[in-house]
Amino acid sequence: MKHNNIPNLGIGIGLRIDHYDDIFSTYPAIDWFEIISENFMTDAKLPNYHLDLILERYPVVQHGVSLAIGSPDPLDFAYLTKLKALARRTKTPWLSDHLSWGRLPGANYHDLLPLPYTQEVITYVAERARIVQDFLEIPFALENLSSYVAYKQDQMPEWEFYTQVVEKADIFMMLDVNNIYVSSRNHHFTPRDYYENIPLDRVIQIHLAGHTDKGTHLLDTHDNFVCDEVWKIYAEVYPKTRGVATLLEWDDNLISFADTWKEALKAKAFQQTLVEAI
Amino acid sequence: MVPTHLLELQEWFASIITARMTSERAIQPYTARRAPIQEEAALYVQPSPTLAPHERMQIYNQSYWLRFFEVLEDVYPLVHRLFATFDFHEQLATPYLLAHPSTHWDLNMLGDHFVAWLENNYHEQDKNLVCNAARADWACQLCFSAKEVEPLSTATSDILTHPVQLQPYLVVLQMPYDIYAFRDAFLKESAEYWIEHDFPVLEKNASPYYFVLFRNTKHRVEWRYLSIGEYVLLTHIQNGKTIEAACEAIEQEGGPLFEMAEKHIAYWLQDWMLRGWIIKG
Repeated sequence: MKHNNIPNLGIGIGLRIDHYDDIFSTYPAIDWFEIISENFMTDAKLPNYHLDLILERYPVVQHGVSLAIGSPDPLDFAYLTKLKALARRTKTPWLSDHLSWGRLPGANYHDLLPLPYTQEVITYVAERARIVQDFLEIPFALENLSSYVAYKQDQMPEWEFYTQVVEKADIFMMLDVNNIYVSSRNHHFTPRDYYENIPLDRVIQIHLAGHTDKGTHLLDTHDNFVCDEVWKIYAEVYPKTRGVATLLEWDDNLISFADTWKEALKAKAFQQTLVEAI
Repeated sequence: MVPTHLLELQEWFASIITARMTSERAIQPYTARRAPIQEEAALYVQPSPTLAPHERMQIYNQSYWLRFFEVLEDVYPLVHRLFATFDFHEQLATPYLLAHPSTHWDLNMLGDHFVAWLENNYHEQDKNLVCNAARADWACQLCFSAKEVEPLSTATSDILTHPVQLQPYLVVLQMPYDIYAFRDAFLKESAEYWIEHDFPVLEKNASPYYFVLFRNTKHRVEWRYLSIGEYVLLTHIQNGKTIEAACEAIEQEGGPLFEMAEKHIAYWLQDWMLRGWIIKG
């Protein structure tokens, strides 16, 4: 499956409560917002009221954190049913979550935990991902992680694992270029090896973010400006995707809404030159 | 089918990240199997040039605990403020999370056993205050997150005998002190402020304080005081009585409560109906 029919929404930013005053007082010219699905899968009135205001004026794309596709327990169809209902409401053109695990039967770790890169795990995860996409009835993408461990069991590099999962499942890639950079530093590979060996025609969205250098490793904190190295990866990857929606993630140590948008707009400058090149 | 090697790895990984951190927030030196963490981690995890396998696992161990601490701090801000961060983590959050790890994707549910856990496991002199502070915090969470149901129309016929209920987001509670004024005053200032200043006064009278928590027209949680008459009537309705049956129950009690109710009940009911607090039973 290629992404030909999936729209390029332009530049988006993550919808965050701290920015609500700015957003709802001026309704700035943002191309689109990404929401964390789980924040709106609730009976609470206030978040849903704010979501309705956003939906009146902006395209919204859903990004999830709780699917835990590689977990050993059965897929949670109660969760998926709520997710699908929200997707119908937001009219999200696609929906994404992470290539990770985070649950065992009876326990939820609320983290994006890395999987071992083995053939058996590819088969297991791809089957579940295909079921999820079929159930949701919209394009479904998995995002690459920032990770801090590599397993003894690993049989292949991450990019090969990622590629095989999405191709076997016939789903899409949500490519986080900051995660490529963070993992490249933590696992000592070159980012180019990663992005030159994945099917970029399956990428339907790109994430950009900042991270924190802890000295011994990089931590994916989403609390900082996008570093130059990550912009360089973006500049390489974006034209090869033939142009896909791009999102700036900024979740902690928040800056003003205006500055967040300014940072996101740097991607627009990259895109314009690159679109001309295409 | 789950690959066997995947399940084995995941069970091991989970046992490491959920083990409580040391007081220096480091990974425990010994695993659940009583093996040195350096040796056991090396069986599953590759080293990096800068980090040993157990140091790589420590990143996930810290992340697990700090994330859940943050959630409990958000849901129980008054309890957090009463204990300050270190003691809140060590004395309450860590043992609570060991007893009640998250079982649901919705993190808002992480704190739903906390009040009961405190009642059963916290035995210091200030137990009543701590438990009531937790109740007050949890009531705010319930009020925020509960659904809203179509309110009963004022045009409903036989409204007095109609089966009714309160909105799921409405919380009615009784406290031995003025806990929400105390909570507001405490949370209005930063934690650092209270290092240099006396804590706010927790007012206490001979009679209890009655509160209702509700969502205002901007969908935000608000509280206000209730009279004992309002409290009793709302509690009867919440327990499934019709308005007529609730009034009869108050009448049977007689005394000042009945006199108060008789005088104000029409106004109370009108106010609650207009606020949309009454729903079909």
